[in-house]
Amino acid sequence: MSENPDIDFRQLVADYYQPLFRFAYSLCKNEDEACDLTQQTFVVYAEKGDSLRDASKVKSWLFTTLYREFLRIRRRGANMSVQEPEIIESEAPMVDPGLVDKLDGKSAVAALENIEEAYRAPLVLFYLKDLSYKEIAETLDIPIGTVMSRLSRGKVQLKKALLNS
Amino acid sequence: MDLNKIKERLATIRPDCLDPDDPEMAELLALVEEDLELAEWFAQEQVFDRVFAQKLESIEAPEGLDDRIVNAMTEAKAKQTAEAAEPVEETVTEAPATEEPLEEPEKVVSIESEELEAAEAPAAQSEPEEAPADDVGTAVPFCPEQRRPWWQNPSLVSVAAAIVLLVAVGMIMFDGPPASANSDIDSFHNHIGTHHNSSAPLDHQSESLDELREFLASRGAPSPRDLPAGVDALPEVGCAVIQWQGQQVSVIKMRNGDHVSLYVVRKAIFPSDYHASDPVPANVGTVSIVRWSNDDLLYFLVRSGSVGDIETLF
Repeated sequence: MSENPDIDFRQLVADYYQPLFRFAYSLCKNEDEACDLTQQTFVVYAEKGDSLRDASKVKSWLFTTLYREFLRIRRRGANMSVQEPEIIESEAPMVDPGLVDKLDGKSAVAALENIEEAYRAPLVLFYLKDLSYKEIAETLDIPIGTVMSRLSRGKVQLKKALLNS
Repeated sequence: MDLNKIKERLATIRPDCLDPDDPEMAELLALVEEDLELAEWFAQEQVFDRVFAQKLESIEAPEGLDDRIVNAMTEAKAKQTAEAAEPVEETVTEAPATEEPLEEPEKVVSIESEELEAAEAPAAQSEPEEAPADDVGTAVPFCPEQRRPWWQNPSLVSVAAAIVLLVAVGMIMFDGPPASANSDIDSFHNHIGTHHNSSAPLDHQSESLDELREFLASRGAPSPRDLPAGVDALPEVGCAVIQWQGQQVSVIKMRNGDHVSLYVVRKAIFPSDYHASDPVPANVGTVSIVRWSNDDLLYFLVRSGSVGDIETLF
C-alpha cells in the first residue's frame, strides 16, 4: 500500500470493478444488487486487504470474496444453499452461433438463469476469462476436476436453454 | 477414451487458450486433427464460446460505480483507522460489523462420478494453495490485550525485528532473482513467440489505439500507455487478451510489413531484474523480442526476423 490509500484504491477499482461487476451481475441478475455486491467486495478489501501480502493474488482474492459475500447474503435472505446438481449425461445440442450473436449481455445472463446454480458460477467465470481454471477452482472452493466437469455439463444446459428460449 | 469423453474435455477449452505445449491439450488437438467430424464440432464449439463470451463481456457496470466504490473504500478505511486509534478502555465488547469474519462458502462436495479422468490426480484434489479470504477474515475473541497496537507489544516488536534481520541476511546471501525467474521469462518468451506465430483470432478489431485501450481496460487487462514513438506510429489491427500462468496478457497486433505483436503484462508478475525501462532484445526461435517497462507495465514487442529489424522502431 502506498502512503495514500486513495490512489491504490482507485487503481485497484479501475483494474477490477468491471470484471467483478460482470460476475456479480451474472450471479444476482439484478444491476442494483450487483453494484452493492461489487462495492461490498472492495470494502472488505479496504478493511482487510492489508493482510494480503501476495499482490498477484489480489484478483482471485476479490473474486473469491465476491462469491462468498454472494453466498452469505443469499443464505441470509432466502435460506438457500447450493444444491448438488443432477448429473446430466446427454450430449450438447448444436446451437447456431447466429442465434447467440443476436443476444445482448443481459439476455445472455438471462439464459444463464436457466442453468443449475452449481454449474452457473464456473461457466460464467469460464466465459469471463479473468481467472485461470485453477483460480476458478479456488474461488468456488471446489476441485479443479469438478470445475471441468461442471463446465462441460453447464454448457449442455446453456445450449438447451438457448434453444428453448 | 470414447468420443463423448473427448468432447467433454474439448468443451472446456477456452477459445484463446489453445496451448500446444500442454501435453493433455496437445493430445486432444491431435485427436481433433485426425477426425474431420470432430474438428467441425470443435470449431463450432469454439465459435459458440467466443460469441457467448463476447456477450457477457459487453456487460458494463453503471456509470459512476467506480467512484462510488472508491468513496466507500476510503470511508471504510478511515472508519477502521479511527476505531484502531481509540483508547483501549473505549473498546466495545462486540466486534464491529466490518470485523465480521467471512463465512465459509457453501461447501460443494464433489462426487466421484462427476470428475473427469484427468482431474482425478491427487494434486488436483488437494486443497488450494491459498484460500485468500481466510487469510484476512479470521476473527479473534474480544481481549483488551489484543487491541493494543503491535508496535507497543515488546514481544511482537522483537519478533518483527528478528524477521527483518532474517530477511536482510537472506537477501544478502541470496542476492538476485529466484532461480525460476530466468525460466519464467524464457517460458513467457516461448509463449508469446508461439502465440505470435499462430493465427489466433483477435477479440476486437480496430485501427484506433484508443479504442483498443478502452476494450482491454473493459476486460480488466493491462492497457498500454505511452509507447515509443516508432511503435506508436505503427497502424493497429486489433487486440486480444490471453492468459499466461493465470495472468492476463494484452496483445495488440500492428502492421509493419509483416505483423508485429505487442504483449503487455503487469510488471509485478516478473522480478525487478526484468523491469529495465531501456529496450532489451532477445531471440526466440524465428522471432525477435524487445522488452521494456514503463510505469507499472512490461511491454514485449514481437516480430518475425532478426532483432535488428525490430530495434529500428526504438
